[in-house]
Amino acid sequence: MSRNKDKKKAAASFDGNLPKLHNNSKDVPDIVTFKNVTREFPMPNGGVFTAIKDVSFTVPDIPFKGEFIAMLGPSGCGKSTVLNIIAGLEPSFPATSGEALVRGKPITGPGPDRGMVFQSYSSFPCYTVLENVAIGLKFQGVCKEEREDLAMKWIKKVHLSGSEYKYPHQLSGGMRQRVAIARSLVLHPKIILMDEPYGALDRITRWEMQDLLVDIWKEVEATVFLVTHDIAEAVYLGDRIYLFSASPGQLIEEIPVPPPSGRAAEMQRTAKFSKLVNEISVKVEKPLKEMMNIK
Amino acid sequence: MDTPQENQGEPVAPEKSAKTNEPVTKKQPVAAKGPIEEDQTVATKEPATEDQTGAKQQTVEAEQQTVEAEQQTVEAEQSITENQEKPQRHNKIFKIREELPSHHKTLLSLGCVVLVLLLWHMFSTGENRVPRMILPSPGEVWDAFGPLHSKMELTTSISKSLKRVSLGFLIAATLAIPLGILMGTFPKIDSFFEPLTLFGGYVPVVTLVPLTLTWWGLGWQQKIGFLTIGIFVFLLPMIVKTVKDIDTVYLNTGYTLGANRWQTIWHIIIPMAKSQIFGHCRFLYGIGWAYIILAEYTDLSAGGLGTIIISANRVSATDRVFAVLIVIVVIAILVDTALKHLGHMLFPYEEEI
Repeated sequence: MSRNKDKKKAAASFDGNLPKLHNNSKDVPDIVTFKNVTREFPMPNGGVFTAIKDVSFTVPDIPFKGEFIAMLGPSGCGKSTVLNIIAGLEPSFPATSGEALVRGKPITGPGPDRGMVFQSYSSFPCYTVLENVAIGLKFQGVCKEEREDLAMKWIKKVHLSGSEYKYPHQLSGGMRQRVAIARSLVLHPKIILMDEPYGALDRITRWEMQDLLVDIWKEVEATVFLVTHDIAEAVYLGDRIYLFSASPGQLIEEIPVPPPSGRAAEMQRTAKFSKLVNEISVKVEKPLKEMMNIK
Repeated sequence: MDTPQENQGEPVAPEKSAKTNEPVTKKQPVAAKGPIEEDQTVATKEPATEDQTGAKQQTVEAEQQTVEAEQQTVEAEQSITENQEKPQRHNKIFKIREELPSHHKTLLSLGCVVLVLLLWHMFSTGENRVPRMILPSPGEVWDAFGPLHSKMELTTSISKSLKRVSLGFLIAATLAIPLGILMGTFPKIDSFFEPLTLFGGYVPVVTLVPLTLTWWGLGWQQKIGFLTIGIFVFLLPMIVKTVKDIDTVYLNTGYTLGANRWQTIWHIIIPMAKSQIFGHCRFLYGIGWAYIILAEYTDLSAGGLGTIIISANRVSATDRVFAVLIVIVVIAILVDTALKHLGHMLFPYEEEI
């Protein structure tokens, strides 16, 4: 019920204005809040590059079920900057101005409560799959037996059983990303940040990974932020799509989309789905075209 | 007369698709070789520019044309082979980055060794041979091993030199590895020690020989000191670079998994760098092996391979000098191969050590 309400609220702000902030209920603070967040980078020539400008949004904490936010926009529109600010990773973090809150508190730096899956393969080449998945638990001081137990469970969940003792260079791209997913989810983060995690994968592998993500996500009850270039992926996985304009990156629209109701390959082939993707494509391409005209 | 007409229509596709497709560029020189060179270039210009504007709007059309262009390229290439008998690429003896079967490699390497031995033999035997003092023959060098072993204590010398290199190397590595990791990790430490590495990097190592002599005299400290400094100044910047080159994505991954500073160094930076650091050490151990000769060169009483060389040189026993050189190279290769295997055992995830 509460979820539908949120969607309606999101829908109310579709007139192009910045989305209105949700009303906080006092006991559950919103999971992520951005209030007029701007990030500027000094340039070597003395100028200033504005990566994101006045980005405001609120993602409520839905108990036992997070929201899936897909971030779309042209390259260099600052989607990754938003993600890195939430993660607390330099150099994007901290924001130049504005407020970035996680569960009502200002972000102070990176932490295991916010898991991140990067676009480039980030599995440690010097560790086996098992060691890679267990390394976060090691950082938390979990004893060896327990962390290997937990890691094994997650390796199974991402369908990597049998590859526990392989090294990343022996795995395919999709498998490596599964390692990265298992590695961050084993810590049960409340927020999962994904920066084009499937960007380097082929279409079929990507569908496979989308299905996997949907399955796992049901289990972890986390809020997901996914940066992607693939509109179909955003429409399929997302509950809401955040649409960004090109430099400086601004949040121009929030689009609610239906949650995934079937397997990626089947659902993404239906006419209804294609129609939705086309509608959103038009919106995504608008800022792109504007940008090209300026140039 | 019909050729110019053909060409008038034809170049549209190649000209345009040169933007989108590579193979077509091959076609252009072929067309230019024809007798209708002038007609073609003039005729081409207009339709080409028209098409360029059209291409932006209709990519589908462009793709079709590319396909056409590709067909034309094939035709063009056929005509090349027919008319000019252009040599095929796979007939070349030296191909850039070709895959060599391992027995070919061995064969070629053996060929080189045989050639050198043959030349050596040619120059050092017979009536008009180069004097023994300048170039002893392979047989003479072989014979020199006997007295070397019995009179000059070859094996003791080898072990003396080996010990010196190893000790000097160990001291250098124990200093350079932690310092290098710290410098690569913390920019403040890096900036502080940077003048030192810059200085070290440009110091001519040979000048360290007299310098260490004045510092430590003729004793073992001089040899170890010289080797330590010589290896350290090269090893340090290599380690710093290796650590700096670790992709930020791995550090960020660590942070988002909750790693603190020391965990990042201990569980991410060091494990990520260790295989390459091992590689650098292996390389510099080899260099150290070359330096030892320099260190022992000055000291006739010290023993070691360098001493054998210098004492043999004084009495013009060039055959012995050659023999010791061979010993040095063989030991270097043996040690290097052993270290390579050790590397494969220690770092099974590295394809190349």
